[in-house]
Amino acid sequence: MKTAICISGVLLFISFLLILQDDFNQQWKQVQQRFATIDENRFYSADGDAYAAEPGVKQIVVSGLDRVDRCTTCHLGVQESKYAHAVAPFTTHPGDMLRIHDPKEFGCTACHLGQGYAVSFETAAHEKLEFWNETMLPRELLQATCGTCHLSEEVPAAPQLTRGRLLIRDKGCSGCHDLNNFFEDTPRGPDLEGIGNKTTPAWLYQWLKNPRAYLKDSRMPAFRLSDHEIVSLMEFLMSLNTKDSPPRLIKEQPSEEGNEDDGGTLVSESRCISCHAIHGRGGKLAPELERVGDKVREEWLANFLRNVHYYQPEKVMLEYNFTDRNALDIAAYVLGEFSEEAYELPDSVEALLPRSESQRKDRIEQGRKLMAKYGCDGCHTISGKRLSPRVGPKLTNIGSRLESTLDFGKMTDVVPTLYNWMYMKVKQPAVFDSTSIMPDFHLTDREALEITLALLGNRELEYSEEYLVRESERSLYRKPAGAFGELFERYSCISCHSIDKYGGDISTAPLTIEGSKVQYEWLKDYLLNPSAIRPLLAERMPRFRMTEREAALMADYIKKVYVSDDIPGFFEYELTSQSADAGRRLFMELGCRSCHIVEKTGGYVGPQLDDVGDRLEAGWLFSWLRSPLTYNAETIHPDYGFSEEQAKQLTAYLMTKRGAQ
Amino acid sequence: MTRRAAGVVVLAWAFLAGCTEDSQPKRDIVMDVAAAMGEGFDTPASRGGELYSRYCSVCHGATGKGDGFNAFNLNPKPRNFSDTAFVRQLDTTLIREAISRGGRAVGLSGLMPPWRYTLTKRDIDDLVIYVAKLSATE
Repeated sequence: MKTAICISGVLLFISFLLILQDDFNQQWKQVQQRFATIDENRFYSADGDAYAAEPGVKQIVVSGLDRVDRCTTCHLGVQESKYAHAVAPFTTHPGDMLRIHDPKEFGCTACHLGQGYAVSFETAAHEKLEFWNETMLPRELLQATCGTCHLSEEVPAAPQLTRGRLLIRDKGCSGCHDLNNFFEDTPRGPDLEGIGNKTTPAWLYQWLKNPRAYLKDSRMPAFRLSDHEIVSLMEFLMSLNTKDSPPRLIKEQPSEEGNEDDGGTLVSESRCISCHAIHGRGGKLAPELERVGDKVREEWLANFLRNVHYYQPEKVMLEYNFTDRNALDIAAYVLGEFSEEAYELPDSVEALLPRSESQRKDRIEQGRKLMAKYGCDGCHTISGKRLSPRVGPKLTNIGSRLESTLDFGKMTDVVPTLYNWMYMKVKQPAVFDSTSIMPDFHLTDREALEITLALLGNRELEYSEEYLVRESERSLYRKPAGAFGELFERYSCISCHSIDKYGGDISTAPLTIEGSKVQYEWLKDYLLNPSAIRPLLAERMPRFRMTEREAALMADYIKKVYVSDDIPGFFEYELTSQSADAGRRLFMELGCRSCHIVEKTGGYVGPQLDDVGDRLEAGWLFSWLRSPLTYNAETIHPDYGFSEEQAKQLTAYLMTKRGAQ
Repeated sequence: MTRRAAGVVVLAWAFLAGCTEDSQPKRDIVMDVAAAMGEGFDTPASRGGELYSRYCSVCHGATGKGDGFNAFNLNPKPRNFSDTAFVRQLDTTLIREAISRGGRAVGLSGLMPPWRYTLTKRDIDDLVIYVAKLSATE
């Protein structure tokens, strides 16, 4: 007995010595010894408590982010530029991120992830560490964690994250998933009430089967539906046919009344192509018109054109002042021009159609249930209402999901990280589970990667409020009121033009300070009869067929309200002819004609300037020339760094360019 | 006795099997995709490429051949960056200067505008890298 105790005592003592030795030889100590050899035993000595000039474990405590990071125990040179070319753990942090995110305030793991407490390569989770969920992010996905604090949609310093978030919005993910409250929750697709009058069962069948067969850039994802399910949905949708008495009901039979040639003229004059692509050319705001003639019923289209906002309460498309005659002509033209061949139901589907009224009722009921099951109302409302709550899981905290809870199904040959799981899921929703109801969005590799990256940053952590960046710039846009407001809504100005960073981007001219930019007479004429300012663009201002009074009212309002105090309304400089001559010399010398037409020669990149003196205000020209990026961050007009004198001379010259000459 | 031996063998096998990792290498899908994209994923050259198509391609052409849609209008014609011999003999400082201060500043055509007030220093660095690559990929 004694011997046994004696032996175990000796063994314990030996193991105690071994532990001591192990502790003495810890990895970080060896690393710091190596650092001493490259820099004369001088340790990191930047100001602050986190660092000391002597060896030892270094630690940064960031209570607001709930972090205790010891990474700088080994990464000793991160903040000093002289180690830019030092070997692996000692190098300077690349880029200039640390200048705006000082490690003393932000630590390391809030961005890079990993285990902050750890002081060895392995336990810091540089690579997948068992039972530790936050493996360090690879460089390719590093922008993900920007998104944990930066909660505004656009984060300029993180372009991948921003693109990912824009994709999430564009694909309408928040229709099914609770993401974050900053993703808007507006319906992505049209309201479905009245669809039974708009289209045919055969069109609906092929659309539900594969939207891309009809519209190659369709925003509607592909659901993996059986023919049985499609027939039920089809019957349900065809039963939504109550919207059949619009205010200005056209009773004529379109095919007998419409004149295709007149319709064609109206279509080109109305610049439908500004929003609807035709044969691959034109705007992206509205669906391509390639085969719309195989989709819509002619009488529906005529009535739609006559009463756009009745059919489209969200008022994206403008209300043209078409007469009955116009509407019939356009409908006849569209049906004739934009069709290939009529859709027909396959025989096998024909056989599934209900044979009696009670069968039809059953199908409609099943269809309604399927709408709810697949979350169709994530994108489509019916009479403005939704049938069901969101059908997808909440994703506000998906970036913190435990990797051990992920189900990879039969995909056992994949490194089981959260980012791999998410990527595969968004790329091919049924990859792990063939019964998944999530539809296929046909994402490219890059899109799937950027969405994955954006989702990885969705983590609900206990960060203190001072670290969270919620909105970069809240738009100041308010819907205009009064008589102008009515016209503004009638002509759906905001679908193409932006105001205070809100609205569409089809037009190159935001309206925020349009009143300081253009002259009243020009604006009024332009509203009545828009000319092409940039002839190369397919997207141009449509002809609204508005009255003289309406044009005057709109021009007047724009001139008074949409102005900038920074742009002189009354240009105080004297625009002398000497000044204009000097401006002309400068204009020619700088090669402005590379992009602008003046005196009938020049390029088509920018607007032609031969009548710019009738169009623009002198104060605007001067301000624009001095700083184009201030007035349009997206412009490709180079900033030449003009002096006040040069800008004045160019303005004087350009103001002499008048069309009447 | 044999039964006990068999038990030991089975236990030992189970123990060893538990210890060895399965040797089949696993796919790290996201890393593979990012690697395949390589240049396409937020590198200086990819950022340079985005800037190039935005600001330069109207004249210099999508692939740098000097055949942008606005080139017809210019005399002298824009440079052909896909001409390897030409680009190789250029100094990167010259390319940087031409982008930043315009053609005139380096004794070339004044039709090339200066971009130093429009683009940041980093933007211009990225563009220089991209322009050098245009000739290398041809």
